[in-house]
Amino acid sequence: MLLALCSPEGTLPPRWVNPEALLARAAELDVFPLVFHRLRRSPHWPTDKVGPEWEERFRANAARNLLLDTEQERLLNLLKSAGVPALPLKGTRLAAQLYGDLALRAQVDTDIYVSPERLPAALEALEADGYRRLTAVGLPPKRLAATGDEFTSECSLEKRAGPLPVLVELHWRLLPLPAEEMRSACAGGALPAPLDFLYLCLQASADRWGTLKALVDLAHRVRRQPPDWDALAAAGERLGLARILGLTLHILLGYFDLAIPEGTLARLDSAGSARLPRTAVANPFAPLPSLTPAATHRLRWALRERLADRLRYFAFLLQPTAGDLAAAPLPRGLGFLYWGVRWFRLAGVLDAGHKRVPALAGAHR
Amino acid sequence: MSLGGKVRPGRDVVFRELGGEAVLLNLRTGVYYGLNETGAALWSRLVECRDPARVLAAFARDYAVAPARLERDLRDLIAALTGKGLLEADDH
Repeated sequence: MLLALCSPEGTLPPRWVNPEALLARAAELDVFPLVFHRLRRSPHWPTDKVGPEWEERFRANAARNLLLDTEQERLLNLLKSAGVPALPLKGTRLAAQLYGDLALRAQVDTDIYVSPERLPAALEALEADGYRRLTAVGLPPKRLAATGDEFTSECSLEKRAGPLPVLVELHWRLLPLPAEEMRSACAGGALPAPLDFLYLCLQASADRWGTLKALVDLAHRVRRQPPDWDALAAAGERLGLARILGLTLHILLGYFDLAIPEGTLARLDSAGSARLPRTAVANPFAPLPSLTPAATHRLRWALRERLADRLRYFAFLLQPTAGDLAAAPLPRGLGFLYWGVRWFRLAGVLDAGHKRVPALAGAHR
Repeated sequence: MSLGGKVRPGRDVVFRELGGEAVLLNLRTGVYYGLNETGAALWSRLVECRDPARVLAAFARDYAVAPARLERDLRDLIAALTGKGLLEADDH
């Protein structure tokens, strides 16, 4: 029933369904705003059986998204003024694009992409604006720009102004794209459509397709803005992401009624024939089982279909990352020790900590 | 609360129609407020002309609502929003 409610058709459940239980499950799976909105518009919405806390929760999410959207626009202008072309990722723009309403998607931060060479200027502008780094504290921006791969190249920043902390995830590497292509995407203010879709697929794959919210986003994307399938498949092949794209489309078809051409699936299947570990695809309705670092790297290795991408991934694996800095702060002169810290982190000995969720100060009607 | 003076949105207050209702948010304090369709219409008119008495007259003309009830609702809304720093008295 939850899946039907989250589908692009938004099929309503039968009258006998317990709305409280459905909303609680939706909240667990991070799709509460969409489910609440659709249930509330149902002709048999049982106002008397649903506690006011759900409405308050929906409104709090809407207010948080309004805050994040306002702050994101301000930051994009700030970065532009600092000569840093930047792209908003996911977030409120995606919510507005896919659901026509930025209140219908849950989120806790704002994600922005800048090219690696502009990362120092971006960090300088954000820190001058009052943001402080939560990760990679003290790491020189030029060094930071050289770390990570498309799964982990980000730095968390936070601004605490009064009761409204805002989290920003600053990304500097998304896909194995030529620098020129990313520069023109930044200048245009948006990723080209095929790359935008591939980015969502990559995000879903990062959680082993075990996050319902990511699948729901993709299903709405396919339904609301059907891709040019040939261009999408070609972009996937060009970027070495055909395997991830093919798997994503098959998984979506398993959950949603979507029109995806057979020819596209067959074309992508040729890239997806490699044997993947059994842990490759998780159940989006169950807690995501954690993988050992070794299993995570084995999976990421297997998802890369080109030798060059695998070697690049391996090279990045051995380099100290922003997370290493957060896990074990060392004095500046001892930076070389991070090459050793990296090995401990690869073995899962040190953890970098967790993201905090900012809360708004009050809720009133 | 008198409807005689003028009002204006509080500083740092943003307003957006979201999820079937309107949300007012004070970016500085984090206080937010949900408005139903009528509340959103009142807010829009208040922001536009800043004169509660004129808003009352316009609504009394456009909607089939008892003037006394409309006045009470508008007065309550202005008091609530002012109390939360979402609306301010405009002295200029």
